[in-house]
Amino acid sequence: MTSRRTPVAAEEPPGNEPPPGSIADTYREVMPLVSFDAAMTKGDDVALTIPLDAIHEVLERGRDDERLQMNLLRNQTAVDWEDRGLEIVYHLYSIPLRQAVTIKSWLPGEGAVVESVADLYAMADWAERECREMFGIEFIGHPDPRNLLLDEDIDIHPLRKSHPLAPIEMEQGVDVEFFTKQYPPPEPAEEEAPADTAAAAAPERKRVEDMTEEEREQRRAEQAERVARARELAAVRRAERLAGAPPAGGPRPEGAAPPPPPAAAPAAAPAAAEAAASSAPVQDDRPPAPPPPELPTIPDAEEDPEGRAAAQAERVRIGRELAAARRAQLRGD
Amino acid sequence: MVQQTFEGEVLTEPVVVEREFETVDMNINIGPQHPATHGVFRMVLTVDGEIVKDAIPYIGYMHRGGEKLSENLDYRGALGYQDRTDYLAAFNSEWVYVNAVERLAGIEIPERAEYIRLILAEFNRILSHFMFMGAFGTDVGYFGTAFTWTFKERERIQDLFEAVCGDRIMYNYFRVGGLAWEPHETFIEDSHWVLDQVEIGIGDVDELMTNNEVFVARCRDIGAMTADEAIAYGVTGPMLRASGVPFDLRVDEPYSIYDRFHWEIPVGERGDVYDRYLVRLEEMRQSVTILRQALDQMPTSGPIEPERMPARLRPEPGEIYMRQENPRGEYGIYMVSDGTDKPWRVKMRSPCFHNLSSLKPQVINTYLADAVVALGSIDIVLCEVDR
Amino acid sequence: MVLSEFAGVSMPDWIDALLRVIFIVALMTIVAFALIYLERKILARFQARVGPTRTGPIGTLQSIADALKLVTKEDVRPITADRWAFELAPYMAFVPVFLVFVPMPFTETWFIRDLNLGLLFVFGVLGLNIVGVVMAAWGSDNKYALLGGVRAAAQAISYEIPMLLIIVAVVMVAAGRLAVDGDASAAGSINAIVGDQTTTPYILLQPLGFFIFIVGMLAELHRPPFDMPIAESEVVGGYFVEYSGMRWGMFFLAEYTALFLLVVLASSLFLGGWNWPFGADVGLGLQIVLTFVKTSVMIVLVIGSRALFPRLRIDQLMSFSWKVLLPFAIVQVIANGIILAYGGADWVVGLVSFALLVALSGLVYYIMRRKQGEGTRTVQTTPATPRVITAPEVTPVEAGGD
Repeated sequence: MTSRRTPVAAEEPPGNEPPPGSIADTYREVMPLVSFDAAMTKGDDVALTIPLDAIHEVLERGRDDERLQMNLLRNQTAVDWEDRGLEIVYHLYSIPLRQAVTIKSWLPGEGAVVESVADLYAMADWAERECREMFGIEFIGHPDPRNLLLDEDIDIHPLRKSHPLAPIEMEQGVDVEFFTKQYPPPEPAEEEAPADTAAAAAPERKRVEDMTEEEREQRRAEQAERVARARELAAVRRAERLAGAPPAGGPRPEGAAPPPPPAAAPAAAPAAAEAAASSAPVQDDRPPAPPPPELPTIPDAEEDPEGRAAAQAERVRIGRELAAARRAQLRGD
Repeated sequence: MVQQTFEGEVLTEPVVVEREFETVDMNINIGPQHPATHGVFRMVLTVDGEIVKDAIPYIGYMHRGGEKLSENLDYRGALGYQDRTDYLAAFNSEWVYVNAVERLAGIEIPERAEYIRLILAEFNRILSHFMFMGAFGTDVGYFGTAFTWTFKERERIQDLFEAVCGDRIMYNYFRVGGLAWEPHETFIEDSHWVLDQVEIGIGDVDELMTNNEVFVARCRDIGAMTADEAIAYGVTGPMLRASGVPFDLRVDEPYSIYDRFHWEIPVGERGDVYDRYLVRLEEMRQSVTILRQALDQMPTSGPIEPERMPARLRPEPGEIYMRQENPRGEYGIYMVSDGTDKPWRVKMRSPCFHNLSSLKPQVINTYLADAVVALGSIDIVLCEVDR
Repeated sequence: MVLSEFAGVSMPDWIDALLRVIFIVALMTIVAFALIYLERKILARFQARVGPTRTGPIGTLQSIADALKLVTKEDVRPITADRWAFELAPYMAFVPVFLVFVPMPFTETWFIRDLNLGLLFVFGVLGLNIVGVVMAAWGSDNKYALLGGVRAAAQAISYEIPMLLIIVAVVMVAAGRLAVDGDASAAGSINAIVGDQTTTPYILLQPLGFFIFIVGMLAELHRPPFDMPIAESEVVGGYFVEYSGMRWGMFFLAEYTALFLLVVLASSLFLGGWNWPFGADVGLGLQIVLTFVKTSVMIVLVIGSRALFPRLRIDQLMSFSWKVLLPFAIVQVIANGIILAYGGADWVVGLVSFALLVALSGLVYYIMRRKQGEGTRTVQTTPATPRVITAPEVTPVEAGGD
């Protein structure tokens, strides 16, 4: 949990109480039993904060009541306030009455579950799919809870503040093997090549037109060798991929609501790592690389949800450590 | 979906053929590499011969995490990103963003800058609709004629933009508080000249397409949506107006200085592809009207940025949902400030995203060719859909 | 014709025929090249462009550059394609089109063979073209190709029937006129039909026939507005989507050759072919020029249709053929039969046909205008003030909420 900055200012709900006679009063009179915390936004909209379990009813009655007629759900999104949880936001507008309102509600940060409003507004179908994949909010009763913008088998939530921008993208649990595999070391010729003197490197940069026939022959041989090596490596990697192919991600069966985090991690990852270690031709005089750490197997989601989450967290931790080590190695220290 | 045959008889169901043998439905991929998808959009159609039985749209090929990126840049730094969402109407998108930041930070904009912004945004609306006419003409089957005719006019507007801000697509000319620099000296004269040419161009497109029998046959009663359906799907912009709802944010929730001009909102009757085309055509003419008035009213001299601007923008904590009428519909920026120099949350409400979500009911039980036309009539920009 | 007439050399028939065939194939290749260049230039003018300018003087060598590119391009065959169907399909599309040139009269004496049933031969052989298209569609193992091929087959079947009926009507008129000279049985020969139009081109006698022939021709050629089999925005090129290099080029060549062929046929049947309009026999040199002038005019029309029409939908195309063109063609045949049986004059035939054409145009116009309905209406709106709450008076309600 790398917090970029603490939302100190957000402890107090921004804005102030709307003037009397605003749409907040209409809402209160239509639904007297719901508690509305009203505030004005900077855009002069009325923002109403309501309890989580009242969302569906407030939206439904707001749409059907003739004093509100909120027939256009123009926007739906969420805000991650880290320790304070998530805030789900609905922007509503009434085209006949020309009035706008913002409905908000607080959710817990983990395991947030909201009732879907896709049965009220067809627009919420896609909006909730986006919200679900970006924030990890589960919508009960959504007709088609698949990922929309992200890959179908990815189960990270990029717009959460716990998801920093760059480094984690490499270690999504999908590609942990990348850091654990032992690939053949780079060619010795490249290591021994004197890279410090420009004069020594000059012949390599000679133009093909200027080469003698012998040099061309040599160059062709080098190229052929490089191509052969690349092909060999590609074959090895393909074999690994085939051995450790992740299960195909498809639409989840309905009725299993709220569904657990979708299965995405490759099931046969350790097997692939072993295959990689055994099939890769390791022959070098450098100090041997540390053995790959043992990755925990991820149990099936329906059998053992807690164990699954723990295993995933463990894999991510290992992946991060390896990534850090890898970066340090690449930097050269 | 209502089908209409060539003679005009209305069938409520697709043509049912008595078969003596079993046939299987075929899945066919339209996209992500397909000439009709205007970018990287994929839709898997289940077709029974030529009749579409089911459609599953897939988006996200262009998802670049723009909201996340904007949260990690300061308020001014994320502006250039707005050019990259709706790249056909970049001025409009930029305008929403800078307006959101200005309202959030409480910055007043000089009047002249507001006029120039409005003029450029309306020009951009015309440009975007020209692009629609060309691409839609190609979808319907014009072999490039509509495309080249509209691009000829689009080039003129782009030349004007280039003279103003030095770029033809990614303008990055608006700034929080005003504009980057003064437009060139002959801006008003050039704009009038471009408008004259554009009016001729609109007439050309009108003559080429509107009354062409084949064009009418392909567009009438295709992809029709009622007003209620359209509103439920969050459809906005010309598509909603084609369904008969005179909803235009420039009038319904007026922003900027649109209350100083007189113009009309075109509204369709049937909500089909043809109405969408007609509404856009008329909107271009109305934009020309607005532009003529704005160019006449615009102060010829004056500041284009406030006298004092803070070096670092740190708006008070608060939130704003700024929405404006883009060529494709309601473009909104939901921005939450936490008092630091970076926005805590930026959400882009893209009109194409929601307009595109209404595609599925439009194409089911139509012909394969109609699916392409209905998709074209939505006028999607995939960069904006995926953000 | 070639050697035996100019050089006065007598030779066996088979050598003569072979020479003529070689001459026609060479000529057609050149014509196809010229057509491609013309199409690009004319289309560019329609589209506010300039077209090819870089290859040769004003781009005249563009077709040769294209051909060179096509020949040197890799010939790709999809791994799942049906090999024989895929590789033979271009020939199946290509050969029939060239065969059809056998009875085409470019001048009074300049053709390969003057077949007595030339018209029947033309349509019999040209119909084989579609076999190649369907083979290509099936052999490619591509869904777009399959859709395009099926569309092409359906379209070819639908449009050949009204076209053939109209040919029947033309032959009836020709037979009636030739019977005056005592040789009505020659009416199946294209050259005889052309020879009959020294003073009266048949477009005056059969204007409806000319219209239906042009429409059917556009459909045969997959030209807009009937280009669904190769529609780019729907089936991405249709049946030749998987072809590349010279195999694709053969489809292309066949298409342009068929264009030239059908245009020559149309100008022979309706515009008087090699005839000078005012009846004077002007000899061989001007005859070939006349043929080419008439075909050029029609080619410009065809290319213009490509620039100015969008594409119909497949069901609209079929409806138009079966529900509009076919009944009118049948009525035309019946009308011709009645008029000719009672010995009506030529102008009666022409007038009836013209009336039918007007009726057809009026029908299409009426249907389309009714379909189009009123245009858009604009509503005057006044800008509203921001954030006005216009909700009705609030009355106390029963308990609600959660």
